[in-house]
Amino acid sequence: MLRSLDVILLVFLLVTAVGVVRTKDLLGASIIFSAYSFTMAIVWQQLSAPDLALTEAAVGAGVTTVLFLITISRTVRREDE
Amino acid sequence: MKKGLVVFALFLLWILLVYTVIVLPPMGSPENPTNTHIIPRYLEKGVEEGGAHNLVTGIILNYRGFDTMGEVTVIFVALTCVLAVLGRENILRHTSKAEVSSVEKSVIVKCVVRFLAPFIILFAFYIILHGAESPGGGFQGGAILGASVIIITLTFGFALVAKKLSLKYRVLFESAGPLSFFIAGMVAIFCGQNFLTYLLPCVAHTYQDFVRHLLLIMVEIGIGVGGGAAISSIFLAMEKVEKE
Amino acid sequence: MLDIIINTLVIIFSCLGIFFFLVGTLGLVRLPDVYTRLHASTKCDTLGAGSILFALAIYERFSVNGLKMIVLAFLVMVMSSTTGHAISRAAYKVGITPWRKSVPTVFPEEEGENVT
Repeated sequence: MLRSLDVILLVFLLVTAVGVVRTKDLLGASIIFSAYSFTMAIVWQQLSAPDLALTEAAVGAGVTTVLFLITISRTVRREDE
Repeated sequence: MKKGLVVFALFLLWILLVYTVIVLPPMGSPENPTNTHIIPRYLEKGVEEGGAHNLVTGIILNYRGFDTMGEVTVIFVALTCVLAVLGRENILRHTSKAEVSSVEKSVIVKCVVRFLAPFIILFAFYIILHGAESPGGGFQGGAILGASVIIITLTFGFALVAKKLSLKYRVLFESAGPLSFFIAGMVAIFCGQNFLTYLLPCVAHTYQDFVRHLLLIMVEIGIGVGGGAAISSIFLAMEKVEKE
Repeated sequence: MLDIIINTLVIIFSCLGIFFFLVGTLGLVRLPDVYTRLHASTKCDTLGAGSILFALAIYERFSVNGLKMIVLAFLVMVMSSTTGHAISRAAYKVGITPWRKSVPTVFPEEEGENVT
């Protein structure tokens, strides 16, 4: 028995996961990935694992995005066809 | 032809996965092997044996201490690889990419970061030290500590952070994670116990809990400071550019 | 009686927050350029999240958890307005021109042709 909030979160998780893969713009992809991480953090919280939620929010959404952005600013932004 | 082969292989894989999902025990059932085998032991005796009120911390530092030591070592190895490829920053030769750009820093952002950064660092240390009692612990607090170093570097410039967190101390901080595990394990070995045993019989009986708590907090601080220093070192190594 | 007042306040503030979130998201999708979109999305954070957290604080009757909600609302407001300032300033310095409603469609030469 899934609650409606869980269903919405899981659907949003799927949408963002597909969006990360399908986006050609790497900057946009890393921003969508950070949205994915935040949704994942809320899902962990819903599964009553606050430790993992903290890790996911701090590492996945914060630090990883910054490192991706630095790497993109050093290289090209668009992925070739 | 080739595409058809790929689709056929994917179809076979799909059938295999669906079959596996069907055969799996029902989700959340109390008769699952995960729920009958080891979870009751953790739930009944975890707090008492693990030595931490937060069951997760007790499990990852006590029952699964070797796993956690491996994770800390993985972070350390990742840092080593990044530094081997990119190289350490040098205050005299390098500056950050943000400082080279034509846009100068905003006063409002500087003011807000100056106001908020102490609270972020305080929160990181709260999470590290309070990991045995409430959700949190070394890894989470270390990530927040690294994030605070990143935000200070982006706002106040590369030179300040590279000077304040000078290499002399940062090398020690980076190795704090594996080092604290090593010390905690060696203390147990010198007391005639197995590696990474926190309950030491050679200590007087009334102080055993206290010593165990002390060792747990030491390991948490080691993981947190080590993770934070590793994240900030990786960030500084990636952010540096050559001065003209 | 007190319960009714508290519940009414909670409902009013959360509806206000949801309304601001809706308007902010709509603006983020529909508005034309960086500055106007930023205008919409910072409303979303400050007013929307602020009123929802305030409603939660009232729901907790300003106990310790409720005061934490107030601190969170304050932090969210400070952070999101600073981020909005930083992004719009960077966009302005990089040289993105603001969108204007009245784009001059008739060029001087064509106007001259029309006159003659």
